[in-house]
Amino acid sequence: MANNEKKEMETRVNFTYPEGYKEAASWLEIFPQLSDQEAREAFIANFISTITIF
Amino acid sequence: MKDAKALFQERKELFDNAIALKHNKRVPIVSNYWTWKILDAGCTLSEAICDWDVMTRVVLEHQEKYCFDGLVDCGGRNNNKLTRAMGYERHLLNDEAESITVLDNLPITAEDYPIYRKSSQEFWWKCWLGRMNPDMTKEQFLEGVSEFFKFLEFGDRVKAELLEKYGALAAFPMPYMAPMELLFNQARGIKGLSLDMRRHPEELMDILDAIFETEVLPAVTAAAEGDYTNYITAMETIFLAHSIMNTKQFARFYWPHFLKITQIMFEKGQKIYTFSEAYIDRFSDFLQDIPEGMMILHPEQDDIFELRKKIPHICIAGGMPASYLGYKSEEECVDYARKLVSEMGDGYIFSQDKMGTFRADARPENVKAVNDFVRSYEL
Repeated sequence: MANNEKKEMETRVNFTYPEGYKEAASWLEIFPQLSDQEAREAFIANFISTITIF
Repeated sequence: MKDAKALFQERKELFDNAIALKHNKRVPIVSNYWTWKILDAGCTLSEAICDWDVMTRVVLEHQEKYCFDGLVDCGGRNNNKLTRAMGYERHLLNDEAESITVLDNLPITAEDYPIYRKSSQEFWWKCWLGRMNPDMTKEQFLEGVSEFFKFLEFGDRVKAELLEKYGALAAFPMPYMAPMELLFNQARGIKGLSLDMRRHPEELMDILDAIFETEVLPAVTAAAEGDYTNYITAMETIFLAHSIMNTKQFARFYWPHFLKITQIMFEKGQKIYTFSEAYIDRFSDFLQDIPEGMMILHPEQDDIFELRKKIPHICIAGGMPASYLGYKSEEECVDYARKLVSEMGDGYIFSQDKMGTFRADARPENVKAVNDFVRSYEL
């Protein structure tokens, strides 16, 4: 599969709030540090606020 | 040679005494070298900044070679691995020129401020990340989060190795900046914030209060309860945005939040390290509010001998000019170091004036010479 075709098939982040935000939080269940949805939702805002300095 | 544990105990006492303005047997030395140490280790910027194993080696070799008592930077600057994973850039590395260019591509507008008051989550998600890469994929987002955890692991690991192998202390675990700094460095930039102070002062004040209540206050309150035995201080604050402000603006938009941060920490007995870019001298009246013996102030461009007269109640770090370390002889550097430690004495931490960034900021033989001298100079 060509790269551009593969890119088209990938799931895009939905940057709406709160729907897209909550969906992205649910994706973070793969990280053991983020055990529940409430913690994951709190994490995202802190994460972005922190990485803005990078 | 003392073992690492004995060195740590000795250094901890030196730093504690310096901050408390008590008599020390010698002046402690803290490294303010940042990307300079990458070049000094024989690496290119992109080799080290993009690889945490290489960066660990750079930091440990820096300590091995120059024998500092503590370090301000432990290799965590310019994390472009994370930003690239998420599909955007904040700065460009140029290995040929040995330079880093920070991009002025911050996405927030003054019109976004009310969104923060409504929801900080919406603000960061929609207005910041959503604009940095609107086409971000799920894979990129998760890779960015994964890189973030790797970055935190690296920070913990390298600080632990500095302590266990060399008995050297990191200056602080985390920075907690005044809300104005967050807008200045990470959201609006120099031009945007300069305009906001004049055109949207009420809206600006409102978002500063909101950032303080939502993010800064909970974080600092929690940080104040921590145990920072293995560090020089409990936290870092940085003066950067003050460089575009007059004293009236500083009094309104900056100082109240900054002072509250320090008060929360000081009430719990926690000490603070503060680096100040540009000049801080013109705000020295505000610094009279800081209690005696609780803070380190590390100015970049001020004359620290003059600053000492204005803020004798605050430990001062820095003062060794890059213009000496990078361009003068070992003898001239040692002579200047002698002037610093003999005149500043107690309540002083020997360090470089600016954040060591470029190769020309210091010659390795000069760094070694001044560190050897300061380590052997009895107060």
